[in-house]
Amino acid sequence: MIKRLTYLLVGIFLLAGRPDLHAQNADLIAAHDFANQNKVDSAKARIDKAMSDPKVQKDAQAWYVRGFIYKMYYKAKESENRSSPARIEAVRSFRKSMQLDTSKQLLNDDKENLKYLAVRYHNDAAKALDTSNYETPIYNFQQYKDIMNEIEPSMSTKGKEIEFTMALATVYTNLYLASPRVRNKYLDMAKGAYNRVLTVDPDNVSANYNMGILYYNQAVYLIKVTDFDIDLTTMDGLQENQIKLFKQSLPLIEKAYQLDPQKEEAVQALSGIYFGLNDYQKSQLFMEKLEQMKKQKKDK
Amino acid sequence: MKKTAFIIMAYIFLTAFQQREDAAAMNAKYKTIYLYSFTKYIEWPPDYKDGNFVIGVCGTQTSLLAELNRMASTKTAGSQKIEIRSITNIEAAGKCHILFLPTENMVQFGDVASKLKGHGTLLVTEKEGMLKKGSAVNFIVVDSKIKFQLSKLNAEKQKLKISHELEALAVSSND
Repeated sequence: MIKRLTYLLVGIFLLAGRPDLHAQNADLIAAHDFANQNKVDSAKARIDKAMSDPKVQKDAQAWYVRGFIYKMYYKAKESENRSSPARIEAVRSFRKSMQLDTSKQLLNDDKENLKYLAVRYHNDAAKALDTSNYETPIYNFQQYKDIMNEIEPSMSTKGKEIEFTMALATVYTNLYLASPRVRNKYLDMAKGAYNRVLTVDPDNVSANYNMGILYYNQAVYLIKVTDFDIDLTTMDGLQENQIKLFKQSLPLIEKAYQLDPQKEEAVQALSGIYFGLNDYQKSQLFMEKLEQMKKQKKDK
Repeated sequence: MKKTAFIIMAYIFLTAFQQREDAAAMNAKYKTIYLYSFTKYIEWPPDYKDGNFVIGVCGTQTSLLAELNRMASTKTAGSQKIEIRSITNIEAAGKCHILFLPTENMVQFGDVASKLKGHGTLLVTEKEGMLKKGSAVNFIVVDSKIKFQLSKLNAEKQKLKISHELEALAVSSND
């Protein structure tokens, strides 16, 4: 509460230096007062009334106060709402304040508040992401990224983006596996997500491996669902497609193995890929390597 | 102002490595489809048209036997019920319509072709040069694909009639 008052005092102090605004807009002052009394509904109603004044609309401080009130409202009433309209309004107001604040007096305060809201967006995205809900987390993560890039362009969000996209790819993969038809939109979405990670982080072991396994499992799935009555000419085409998929899987798994030579799953997958390509000698080599690795691990 | 920390990303644990599907089972499926297709393209002698249609596999190749059994549970060879046998001794194999000899069991089973001479059994192998040694169908790998070679002559020696369609699908052989 003390901290909140301190921040509101900034606004009051600034407003005190603006007798024109003060005189003409009692709603703005009333909004302050309500906010100080923690009456968020009244504060919100009065600040919106104040904002209908064209003069106030051009005032950075007024927008700062509006942002602050909406942030209060969000925390008090909508903190569990991952699509909170109050949060959207708070962000919009702080942004507007920054844009109008040519003197840069409010810059740090605007940024601090935006950063707080950005982190809340991020955390909501992280908490809510699962197979039943991925669209809101995507939106929330994008909000986080946009705000952070705006207020701290020197601070990279790359790490967080990789984490989030990897988790998103897993969600898509799980959705695909829940209904693994040969063509499935979630399969393409999972591949798209892994591709985005690999574009910014080509040496990401998990992304290389998981993407490779997606191709691998797709190849195996092709024949798994095939009826025994398939005619042999059609089966030839099926083998063709399967080989193509195994060959797409191979460089990705090889890379995961190069990056992490102790990764048993990659060695096992390489053995499987070569088996799928009917290269039994190479398959056997990797199988022996895997056994060696397991033995070494056991002996340690 | 109260700072909000980034929460620890619980969802990162979702990015577990995926399970690898079994490639050996896939290979077995192709062979099963081929073996089952042969029942449609080959005619067996009249005394082989009664009772179960027997597909024998030399040895105990688990994935192939499992796939063949899956096929046999839903398909028939014409009007004949398909029976899958794991063969450990050729002399005690009984009457087989198709006998598959995997590469890894060739030494153990010896000269299977001569033991089957005159029977109406389609011998299927999977090693280069086996048509010369009496098998009628031989699986080979061409450009990473499983294909098959065919010896009409060896099949006829076993009193089997091969259809032209099957001949057309086979890979030519120098055997």
